Amino acid sequence: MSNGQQSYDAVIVGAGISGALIAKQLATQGKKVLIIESGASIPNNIESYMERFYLSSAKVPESPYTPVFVANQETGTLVDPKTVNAPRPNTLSLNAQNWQDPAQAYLIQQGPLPFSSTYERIAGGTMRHWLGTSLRFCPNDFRMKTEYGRLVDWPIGYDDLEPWYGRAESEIGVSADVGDQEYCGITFPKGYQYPMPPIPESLVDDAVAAAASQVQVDGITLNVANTPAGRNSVTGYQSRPACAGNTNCIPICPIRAKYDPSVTLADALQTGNVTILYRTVATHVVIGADNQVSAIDYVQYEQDNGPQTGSGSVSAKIFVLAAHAIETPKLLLMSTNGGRFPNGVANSSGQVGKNLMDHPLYLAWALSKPGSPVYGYRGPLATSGIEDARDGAFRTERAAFRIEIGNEGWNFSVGDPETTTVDFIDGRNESGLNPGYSMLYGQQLIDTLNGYFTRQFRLGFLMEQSPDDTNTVTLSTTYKDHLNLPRPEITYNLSEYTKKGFIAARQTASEIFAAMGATEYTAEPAPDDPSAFTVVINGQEVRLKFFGAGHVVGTYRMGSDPATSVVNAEQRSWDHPNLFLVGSGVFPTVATGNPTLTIAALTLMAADAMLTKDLAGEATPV
Amino acid sequence: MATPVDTFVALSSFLTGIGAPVLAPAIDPNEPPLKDVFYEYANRRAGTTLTQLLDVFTQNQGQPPSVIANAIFQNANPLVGFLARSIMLQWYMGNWYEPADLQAYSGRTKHGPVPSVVISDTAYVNGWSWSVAQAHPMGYSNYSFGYWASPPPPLSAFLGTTGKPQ
Repeated sequence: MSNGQQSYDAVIVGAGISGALIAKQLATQGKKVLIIESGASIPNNIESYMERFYLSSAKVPESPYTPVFVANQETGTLVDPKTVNAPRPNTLSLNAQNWQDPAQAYLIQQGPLPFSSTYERIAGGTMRHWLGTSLRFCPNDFRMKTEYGRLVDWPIGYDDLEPWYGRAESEIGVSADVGDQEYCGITFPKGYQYPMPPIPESLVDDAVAAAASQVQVDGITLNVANTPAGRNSVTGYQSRPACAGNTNCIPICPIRAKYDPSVTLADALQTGNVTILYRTVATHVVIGADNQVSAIDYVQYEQDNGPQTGSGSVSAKIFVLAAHAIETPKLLLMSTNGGRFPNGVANSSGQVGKNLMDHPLYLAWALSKPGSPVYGYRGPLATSGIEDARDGAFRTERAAFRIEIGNEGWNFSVGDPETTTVDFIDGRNESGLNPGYSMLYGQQLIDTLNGYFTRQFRLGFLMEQSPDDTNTVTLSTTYKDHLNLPRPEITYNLSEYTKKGFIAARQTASEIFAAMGATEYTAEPAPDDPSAFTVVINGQEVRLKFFGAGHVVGTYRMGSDPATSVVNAEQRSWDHPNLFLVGSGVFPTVATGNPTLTIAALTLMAADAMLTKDLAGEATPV
Repeated sequence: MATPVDTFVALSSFLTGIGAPVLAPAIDPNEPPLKDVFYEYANRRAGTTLTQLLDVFTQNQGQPPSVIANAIFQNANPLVGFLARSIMLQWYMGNWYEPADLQAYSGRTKHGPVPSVVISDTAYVNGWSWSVAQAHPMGYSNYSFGYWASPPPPLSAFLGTTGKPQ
């Protein structure tokens, strides 16, 4: 059965950043494209998203989006993923009670540590709730093995990707200044300018900057640099308004000053060459006798928790899987083709589903010096970072990191302003700010809260995680979703290389705080917190917590050897030449930069290969 | 004669430290006004205790603040004091916390967030904790590009000209 006998040049699975970019690139060249999207369409306006966000007790990154995953806002009970057609992980499913409970958590987590990042299954993808950080990777990120004898090299270098970074910055609409971004060997073509001027730094940035230069990490002096942002600094670029500092990039910008893939998707649809099937879940990649992909099978539903309402199979010249780094390997592994490919398609290397990575995040928080407020809870969530320690000779021994300076007070770190407000009204000390368990009211309550809120800030260390083939996505043989499809099973841990990076991060945070005259409040993780590990520092055992950064990476890596990689530099399957796998799953290493800009650049590179090779000279541009 | 909502507003101002005309302005931009929303919510969830709390407050009007506070927070019925905390949190966060939950979580023994529900989108975006931080609710701002590069107005500008409790 085919989809109305329509003939497509390309079928794309997933309407996130990668799927949208490829659809736009192909469709503007006159190619006919079908996108299969597992989740709901983009609503005409974001009112329903905003309302869901406002009314969520826990305003986690996934809170505005569908399918709804909180069954009871008061108790926090979650919807059982087996009742949902396209379930996805969420932050609330990661706590001690839920993370290994299949009735509460979509991912079947085998540990020993929880994989702590989440993703969306909805048109627009996980980038609906990205921060907007649009950093380029450093040249040495692409040649770790060559430069440091550690991890693996990419099959491409910075210079190969540089022109595509520029195009990605244009598509996203990045606000930055070249002069701020030339560190760790990053270069730009002569005369290059970002699409928009930089977003102004916050008062928190200024306070950290004044002290950071007194701190060195492995001989590297730290400097605060403006962060390139996929948020408008001027009104009008791609018809978006300038950022008004709603301090809510994650989970949702209420004025749409921040780029998200709905922009690119709209451009793609406007060509008239793109069709999207929403609430349509790809179930099988079918391989023909010639070893090419001949079709993709799918099933459909109408209600998030309703019955299956349809099924079909669609064929095209080329096929693109852009379903992110957990659902893409899941689909590949499911596609056994009646036993012809017992280990799934595109998997002759055995690398599909392996090397799952994140930027495990070390969070440190403090109060600025008394009398020197920094006024958090204002501006975009982050406007600056410290990038100098993203590369260095220390990478022979330990993971690198970048430091993100947060503008949201202690919201990320302790859940403020709520936690501290409840502490001082109810006589608790969850924030660490009320060790006397005071119960206040009236003017004393106001003065106390104001004194603390205006001095709160935090640093987030995005840690380079080593690619380990023991960190895997496989198929659960026990647990299924409502469409009877297997759920992803995750095995995940942090290597010694990565943990050593945490030790350096902890020390660096404390040194920055000390240089600022700030008082550190970073808390030990709760005894039952699963997202924590023990290290030995100066002979003492110390337990450190890590957070997910939302950066789901690895699982179908690119390389120059078919024996050790899943796709080549074009992101084309070594095994099936008309199959492309795109998105952060192709990253051989995660480096330290937030992945989105590199995803976009690589995807544009892959689209170019499709247009110049697979689909060359067949249609006229629109 | 004061209506129960009038007494609720006066009590709320005493507890929160925010002037009654600011908490519940004569011309309230919110429809329905939050004083009514919060009163009705508290009345629905804890009606008997609310009557008792309002009575205690009325009976102690004119007393020094410490005497009023003592009458509320050291009341023979501890839920009177914990309902007062629930009301403070309505105004500060826009959430409803059950007095019994606040009682259970108060002090050193029980950790983790106290269960709560957001009363309404309007209640969230009007939460006074954001103003006390000299900021705005996350996800709701009337400021414009670049405001974050300069210090905010003084706290008094966020709490109104009558920022002292009445």
